[in-house]
Amino acid sequence: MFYVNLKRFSFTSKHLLALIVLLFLFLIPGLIRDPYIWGILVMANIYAAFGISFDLLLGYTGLAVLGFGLFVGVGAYAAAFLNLYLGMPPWLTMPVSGLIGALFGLIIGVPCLRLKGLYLALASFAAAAICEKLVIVFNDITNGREGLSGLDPISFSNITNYYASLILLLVSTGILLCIVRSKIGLILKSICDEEIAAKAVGINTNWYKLLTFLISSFMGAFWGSFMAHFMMHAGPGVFGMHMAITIFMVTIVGGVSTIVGPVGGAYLLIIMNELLRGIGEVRLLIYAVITIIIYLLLPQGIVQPTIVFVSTGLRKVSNIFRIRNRSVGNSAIS
Amino acid sequence: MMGQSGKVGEFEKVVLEILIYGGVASAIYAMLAIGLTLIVGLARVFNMAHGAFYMLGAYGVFTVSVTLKLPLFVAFVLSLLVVALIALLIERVCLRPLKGSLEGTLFMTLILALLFEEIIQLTYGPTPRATPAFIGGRIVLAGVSVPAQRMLVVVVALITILGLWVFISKTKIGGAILSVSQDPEAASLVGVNSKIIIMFVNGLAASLAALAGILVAPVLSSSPTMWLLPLIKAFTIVILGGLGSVGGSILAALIVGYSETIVAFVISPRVSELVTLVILFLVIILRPSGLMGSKTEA
Amino acid sequence: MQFLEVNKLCKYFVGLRAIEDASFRLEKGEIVGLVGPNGAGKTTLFNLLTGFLNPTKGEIDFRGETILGLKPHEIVKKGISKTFQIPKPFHSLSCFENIVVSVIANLKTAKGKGRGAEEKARDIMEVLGLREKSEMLPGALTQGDLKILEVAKSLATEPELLLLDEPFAGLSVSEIGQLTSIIQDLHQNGLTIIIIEHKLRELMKIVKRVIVLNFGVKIADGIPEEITSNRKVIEAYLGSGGSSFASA
Repeated sequence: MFYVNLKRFSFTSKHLLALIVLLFLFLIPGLIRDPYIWGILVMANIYAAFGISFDLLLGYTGLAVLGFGLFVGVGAYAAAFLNLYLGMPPWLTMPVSGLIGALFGLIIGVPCLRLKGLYLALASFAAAAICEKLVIVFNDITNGREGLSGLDPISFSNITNYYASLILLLVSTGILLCIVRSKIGLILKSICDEEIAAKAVGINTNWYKLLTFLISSFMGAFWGSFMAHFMMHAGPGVFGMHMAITIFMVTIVGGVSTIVGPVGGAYLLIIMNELLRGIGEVRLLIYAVITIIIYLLLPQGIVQPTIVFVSTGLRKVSNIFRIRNRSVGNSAIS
Repeated sequence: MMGQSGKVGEFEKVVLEILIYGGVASAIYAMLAIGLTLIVGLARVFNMAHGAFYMLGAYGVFTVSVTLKLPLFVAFVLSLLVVALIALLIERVCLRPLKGSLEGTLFMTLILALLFEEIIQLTYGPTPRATPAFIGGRIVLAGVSVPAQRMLVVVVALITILGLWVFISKTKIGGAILSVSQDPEAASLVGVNSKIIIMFVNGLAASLAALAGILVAPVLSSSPTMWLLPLIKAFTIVILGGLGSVGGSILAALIVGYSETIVAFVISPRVSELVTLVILFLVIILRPSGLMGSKTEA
Repeated sequence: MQFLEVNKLCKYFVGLRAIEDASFRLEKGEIVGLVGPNGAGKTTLFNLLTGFLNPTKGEIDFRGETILGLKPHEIVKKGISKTFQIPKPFHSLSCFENIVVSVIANLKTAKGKGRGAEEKARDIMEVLGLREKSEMLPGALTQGDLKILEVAKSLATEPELLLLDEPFAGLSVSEIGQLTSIIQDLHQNGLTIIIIEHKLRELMKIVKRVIVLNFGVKIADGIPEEITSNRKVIEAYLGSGGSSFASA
């Protein structure tokens, strides 16, 4: 299930499906020649990245960091300050913002290590919400509700933005999948299942929880800065509840504990957002209702069942081909 | 400070203002926190939609009295009933399937809170709405002139909290609530139906939150995001007071309410939100069980 | 150098003296029973030995070093491992993965080098008879197998001192027999073992020495025959269900 030994790697229909999807994603700019759509897909990739970072915390280590928006906000504003006041270029602000985010991860993580998950959830939530308020209130530094504008974009062409976001998303997903399918991932799962038993078999649970915090907060902040550069703007909304709740809606809809799940959830959100653009502000409302329904009826999310469904279909199709080949071969011999 | 009575009067005036406005804040926070702590003590879950009930109460009274132009009394009762009903519906449909999972409840209720925010935003728009005061005019208290509405808040809150206290300690239902929160299995053996008690407490908590919202509606304007910060203050107070302790919540509400008011008056209103965060982090780091909670081993 | 030395150990909670002035010594290779009525402090003692609780007073020395103040995972690395009275398997991992996790967590120590984690896990499963159940989830296991899984997880940490907390609780007669032979094999291979048990008849067959606790105080320490005829011990048990004792 979780523990994959690379020596025993076999190419299954699920991998085939993954390749097809990847190919499709890479070819999209050729199929749909609308830069506006590419921009939308960049946002989808950004939210997907937020979702997978959050899933590492929630789905693998069992840390319900409700205030995940804090790291995103830190990343966005750090990028804004570094870029606008220090003139750092985007490719530099992003990793630096990531590190600053990891620092915040440390600040929040260390005190919360020895507490029950409830306190972690509430404390991080409070921190995120109050940071949003502070950022608005101290508007001499942060330009209040309007936020900071005029950041350098990653590129002026949306196609570069799209490929940059896609490749970075692939790298991020790849890194997280490697972590999660490795020994570390197994340890994280054990901490999530029964922390006391994990300690009893010699696992330093605090260290692993902190590690997960650092990785997730780094990624959250990194992608927060990516978003700030892409939108050329950093506003208080990135910290706040809308962002945090959207991120976990994306994760829940896509599927917790899957890493790839949130990607599906993000794409669904963004695409739905676009299709319903005519209706106006009801979009988030509808997505919230969808999330609730899925949480109650399909708790494993939509991505896993979809993968199973499609890959089973793929296998059946390939089986048909194999049977045909065999009979052709036989008749050729006889 | 000696001699010129004018200057002494100034200082005293500020102290009195802090006393009064701090009291108003504490009263509202107490009403929010008591409901929440009852739910936590009883069902061991945190309902993040609690702030939403506060918001719905405020908008409820706005709608019924301003838009529908019905009498104030009707507005009160209708808002309380509707919010209580919504709370019960949520508990039945969305929360019970979660089987008491703490994280599940946190996420579900947060999404619900967002849902309510969106609904309110769609219906009323993002601009804040003002509800006229229930009682006009001002009252002069020891030389300080205070809007009567604010005093009403304190009076109603005190009566409600007192009534609640009596209810919990003297009536059968109150006893049932306490017994279920201490030991659900033993309570069911004695014939107490936990499900009904949980439903009742949910409705009660939501009504308390709605009442707080109703009282506050004329004082602060109502906006779709008004559920968030009071929620955070409410759970900070619940943690500070000790999960499940009503007395602890009241004490903690006073601490948080007055700290905030003092900081707002003495330092700057901009920093007053930070007070809640600082208190929360201090409690979590130093004494997670709170003031009245029992210290348990890690 | 004493293998395990516990000296005047005390653990007080608010309003409760769980352990009072407990002292005893263990030689390497002993197999000892720890008995006493419910609430006597036996599990508390195990928690003190494994770092899950910190003593109020007293000392614990393991192989000459004090282990006071060490965190549970550090004590596991020193060589003390315990099982839980109510098994705590990692419920979303298969049996095999449950053991692999334990092996991985201890690979860094010199003892674990040179063998792949999976191989080691398979060896343990083989020894304990869990091979056919390796892909099953703990939720599908019988109580007996869950107890064996607990032992497997502890074995994977390569302990020198194994603490078993009521291993026979909830098991059928045949399951107890199975677990008994596993414990005896482990002991024969040099493992030092302390066993908390209420099923005294089965326990006395395995252990060579019994320590008795009552209300946190050690009231007896000797070979099984001495213990069963010790008046203080009989009184302690008769005060709270002595029938199980009388039949031992």
